[in-house]
Amino acid sequence: MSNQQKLLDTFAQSLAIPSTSITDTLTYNTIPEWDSTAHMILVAELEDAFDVMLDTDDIIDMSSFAKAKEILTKYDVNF
Amino acid sequence: MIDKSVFSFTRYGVTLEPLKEGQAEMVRHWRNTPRIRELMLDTDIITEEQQRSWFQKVWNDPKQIYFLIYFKAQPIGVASLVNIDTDQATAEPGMYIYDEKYQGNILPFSAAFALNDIAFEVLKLTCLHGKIFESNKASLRFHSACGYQETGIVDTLRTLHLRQENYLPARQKLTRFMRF
Repeated sequence: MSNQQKLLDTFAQSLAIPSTSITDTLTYNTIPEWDSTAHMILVAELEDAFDVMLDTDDIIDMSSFAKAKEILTKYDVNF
Repeated sequence: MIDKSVFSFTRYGVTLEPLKEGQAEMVRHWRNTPRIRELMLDTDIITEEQQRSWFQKVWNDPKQIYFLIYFKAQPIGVASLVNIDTDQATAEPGMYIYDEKYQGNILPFSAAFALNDIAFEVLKLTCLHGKIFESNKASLRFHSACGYQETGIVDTLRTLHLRQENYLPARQKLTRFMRF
């Protein structure tokens, strides 16, 4: 499975939304499902899926699907 | 007992300090912003004069404390403990993050945990009581993640409480991400 697909699946599962509704422009606070509690579920799932430990500043900055890809790239995850 | 003029509490990357007179006007503007006001039980616009008299009342009342929440030395929101009852060891907490950049992530948990620690460790309270609009699903989920237990429904409000034995395991699950 590609990292892009893995990221899509993780977002879909953590935010409980269909993967078809996830695009680079998906941003937190723009959908009711992406609240602070879902954000922390998402962070936990991303760390498990990609075997990384995110800096807290990155957890705070992860404000969109596109930003998540950008941050994970810093941890040597390629898209 | 907290000395409001000097108290400062830093944990989980945030600092909570009692609101001072010179900050009350900034907080009034925050509180009157529609996206913040609509979360309040009382949604009326607050005037400068009302804020001044509110602040004097709060400052001199040992049963309520309003804190400014700081992250990286910048004020980002307000937290409070009201109806502090030292005989029953209870209080009602409240909190909002004004800065939109920090609303939907880990910092609301940091601020809530710091506030809860003040309540349980500094003030030696044993139970916190809350009321949340039934329609505010995000807040209900947030409080559940913090260990709150629902106790009932009054009109459109769910009533909840948080005891330390429920709080500590809930906090432990999330503080592992607070790598400040």
